[in-house]
Amino acid sequence: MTAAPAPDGALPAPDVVGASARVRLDEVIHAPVRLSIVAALAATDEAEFGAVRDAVEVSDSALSKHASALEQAGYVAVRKGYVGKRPRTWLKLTPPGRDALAAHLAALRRIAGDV
Amino acid sequence: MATMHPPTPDEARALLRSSTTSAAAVRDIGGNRHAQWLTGHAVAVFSYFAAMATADQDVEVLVSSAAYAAALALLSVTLLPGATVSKSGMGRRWLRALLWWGAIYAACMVVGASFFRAEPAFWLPAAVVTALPLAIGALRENRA
Repeated sequence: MTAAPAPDGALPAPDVVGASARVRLDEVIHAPVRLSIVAALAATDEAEFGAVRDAVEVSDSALSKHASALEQAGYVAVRKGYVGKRPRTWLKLTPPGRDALAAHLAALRRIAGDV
Repeated sequence: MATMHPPTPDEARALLRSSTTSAAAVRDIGGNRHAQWLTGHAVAVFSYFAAMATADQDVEVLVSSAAYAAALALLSVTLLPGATVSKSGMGRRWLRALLWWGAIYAACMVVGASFFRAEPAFWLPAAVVTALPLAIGALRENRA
């Protein structure tokens, strides 16, 4: 069900946005920080923890918490390794994660009225 | 689980903008080590083949080969392990560049070493042709 635009061409109010757009919003990545994390990872094959932290501008603990939640949802894969003697953690968006992001962004675009 | 509050159109636009910003930021933060490696390798192999154009003694060939191997090792050790971001599709672009380079390099080395030792007319064009896949790969990786 899609909402008809208001007569003056204004965007439909949020409470009349079609249910189809709302149901495609992903509860796991709906939070702004998680959406930013997933969007950053979508631009990469793999990214080191610190690079994602700096790109999304959150603390280590916040990123760790969100990454764990995304990993539990199956959207992000976490790989631990070493560069020299320094332990490093890499994050990678899984295929389900990419699909979830694509659907979520499409839903946001419908809500924004860009589609 | 808390009920998800759907965003307003303005909020949706802000979320879309922030997702784009995050994607651009992570690419910037990662630098471009893979493109740098490909560029460095292109310069190294060009220099190696150019040196082979005047190397008619075995010791000269060995020194040039050793210098090339050392340059490649240095590039690999300094640039690759510290790469914090692999851009989307990097593996595919990397493999394509190296496969093309490998095939051209092998062909030029076999033909050059067999028939055109210390012949600039062969080795200088071969230097360009062998470096080309790496240079193109670097350009594609940079633009990704």
